[in-house]
Amino acid sequence: MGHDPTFRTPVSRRSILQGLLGAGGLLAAGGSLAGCSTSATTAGGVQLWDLFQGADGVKMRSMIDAVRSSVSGLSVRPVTLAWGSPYYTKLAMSSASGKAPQTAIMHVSRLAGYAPGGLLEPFDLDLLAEQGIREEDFAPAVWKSCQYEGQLYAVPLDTHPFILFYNKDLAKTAGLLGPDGNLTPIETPEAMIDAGTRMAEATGAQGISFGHVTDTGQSWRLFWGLYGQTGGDYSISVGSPASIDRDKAREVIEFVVRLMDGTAMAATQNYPGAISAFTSGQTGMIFSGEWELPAYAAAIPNLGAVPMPTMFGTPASYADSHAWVLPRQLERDEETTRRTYELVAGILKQSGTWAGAGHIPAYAPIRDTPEYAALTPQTEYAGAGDNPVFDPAVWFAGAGTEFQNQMSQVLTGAFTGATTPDAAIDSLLSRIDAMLLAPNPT
Amino acid sequence: MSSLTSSNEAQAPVAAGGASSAPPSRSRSAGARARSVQGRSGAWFVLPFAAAFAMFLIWPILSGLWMSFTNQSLTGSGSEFAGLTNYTEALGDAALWQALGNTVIFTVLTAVPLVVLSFVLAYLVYIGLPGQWLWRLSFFAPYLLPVSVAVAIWQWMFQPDFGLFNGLLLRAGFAQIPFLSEGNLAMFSVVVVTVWWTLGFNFLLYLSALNNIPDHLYEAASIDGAGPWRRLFSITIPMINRTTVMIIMLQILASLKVFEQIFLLTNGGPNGATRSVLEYIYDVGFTGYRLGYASAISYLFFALIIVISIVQLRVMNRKSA
Repeated sequence: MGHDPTFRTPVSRRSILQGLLGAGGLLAAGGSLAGCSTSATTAGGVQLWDLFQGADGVKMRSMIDAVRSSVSGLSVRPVTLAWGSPYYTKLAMSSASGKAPQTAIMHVSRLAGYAPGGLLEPFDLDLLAEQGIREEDFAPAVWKSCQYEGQLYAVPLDTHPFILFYNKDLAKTAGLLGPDGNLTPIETPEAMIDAGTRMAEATGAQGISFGHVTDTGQSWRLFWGLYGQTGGDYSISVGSPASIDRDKAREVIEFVVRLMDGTAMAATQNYPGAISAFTSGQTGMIFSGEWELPAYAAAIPNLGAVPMPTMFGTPASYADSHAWVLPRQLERDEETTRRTYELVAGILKQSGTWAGAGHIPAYAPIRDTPEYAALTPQTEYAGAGDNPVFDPAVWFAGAGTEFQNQMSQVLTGAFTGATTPDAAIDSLLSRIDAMLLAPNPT
Repeated sequence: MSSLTSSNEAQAPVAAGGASSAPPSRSRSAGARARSVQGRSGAWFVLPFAAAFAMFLIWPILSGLWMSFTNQSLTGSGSEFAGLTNYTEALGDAALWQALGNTVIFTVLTAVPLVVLSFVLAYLVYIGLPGQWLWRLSFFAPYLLPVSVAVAIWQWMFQPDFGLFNGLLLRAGFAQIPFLSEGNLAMFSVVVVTVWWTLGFNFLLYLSALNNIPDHLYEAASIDGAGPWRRLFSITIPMINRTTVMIIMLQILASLKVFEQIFLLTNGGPNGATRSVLEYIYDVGFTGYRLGYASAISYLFFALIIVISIVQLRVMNRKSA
């Protein structure tokens, strides 16, 4: 062989071909190994998908680790995917193929699009009870939101409302604090505008942050929560045209337009811009989801938070809930099912850690602990969990949907004055009607 | 193995032919044999690519076409044949027409500066601005950035209140400009980002075309007394005509396909003012789960691009002829 001249050349055609064949073989082996691990779930452990990044992701991983070490023999394969519509696209596709993770996080607002189409499997209440998880451990409204046709399709982990954060030091300068050192209740739209204006004097820039420009959910969260405060009726259900109380919707939009005068509130902030304006002290308040709490707490030493101030009569905050679901499996064996329930129950019992990320634990035994009661500002807004306003329960609504995106775009146009409130309401209704008419793909 | 067999087979008729009739030219028959052997063994080398091409391009194209006639959903439900309903729905879909309009506007607004500006910059570098390496680097560097980075940089610069532009405007006592929250301005902002980010590619193509123009043409022109403008219009521009045609074609196709920077910068907003056709397809198919309808829109857009390409080719060929 050594005498064959072709072997002296550094790379021969044969060696390339051999290399390619070898690489192909490796790929094939890798492919079949991957195939094994998806089907042989008992050996591979419980696969779990979530959509938590940043501080949320760190907290979720530490909860999983805690469950892993407390339940003997439990092996977990967590996968974190990017939040938003891509997450739900992947979840729907994997459920449709029957090769989904054993359990996954889902916003309860998406349940109406997933449960009826058979993408999810219902929970077995007896198995849950074996793990110590019972209906009486949850707020009735939240438990009910996890049901479809009398069956439980989701086990709620938290409620995460849209609330008002404020910088206590700046609020003090602005004279907005009561004798107890907390924000004086803001009970009318005028009081909110006044508070924003006074806060602007304290910051020297603007009063309130709200990041909504080009965002796919923020304007809707603000509007829908405030509309909930007006007690306005609405009807959004497949089979009939949508309706909404026009006067009350107009009242809410007009209020936001008045608030966005450039002083009390900036008119054209986007999401990251609003956060950095608030954390850098350019504004003293922010309308925001509580999930941003860790970022604010890291930047503002004296952080306060309240449920969305009741400006239109009825206490209400826009909210959603992270919940565990069981995506459809082609085959689910008893052992893996038991392990999955152990994992879900174990994480619920760890949700004290979850509260650290700002979320209100759904599991009452954790919410009632002295440790939770000692968390500030979490407890200052925990009341928002009592009056949650969820998305309409139709298949196309919910977190990360085109519905929220469309609603937000129309509302952003109205808030910034590009369209009139009435034109915006017309546009909202006609867009909802188009979705009500569209074929349900789930 | 089969290539060996086939080369043996190829040899036999040649030998037979040589014996029976007038002797063919030796070199020709050897050449033909070599070509045929090369051709067949070449097929094996092309096979991996051909397989990948068939699997990842031909097959999806065909299955997408089939899908466009069904009501297929991303969640697996409903794959019944729906005839032309998706296509008729698309023709009456106002959001699609808006997206198409946006795409055309974007294409016009980006293609013109991306062709003209890249030529001007390449020409300035070519005729010898001092510090050439610096210009080359700075014009081409943005193209090396991933789209997410390019967009992130500009997103901060476009920020209201404290972004670079608005910060300067406010400090100078002017009103701030809602770069991303007002429809027309948002489209303008996307165009600015795109031109800045992708200019380098055309710049490089132009620069290499310019460097390929033989120096003696200029020397001869100078001897004949042609000034710099005459040299530009009578030598430089005609000599790089082919490059210009290619750049225009590539640029129009690239602009029609716009997706990433719009998706990241404005998400198609405000109120759909910057949503391109591809983003609409993404929204319909992957957010709304309507794969059948999304496929139908894709095919309409595909047809439109083919028509544009044919028209473009015809016009360009006539021009360069």
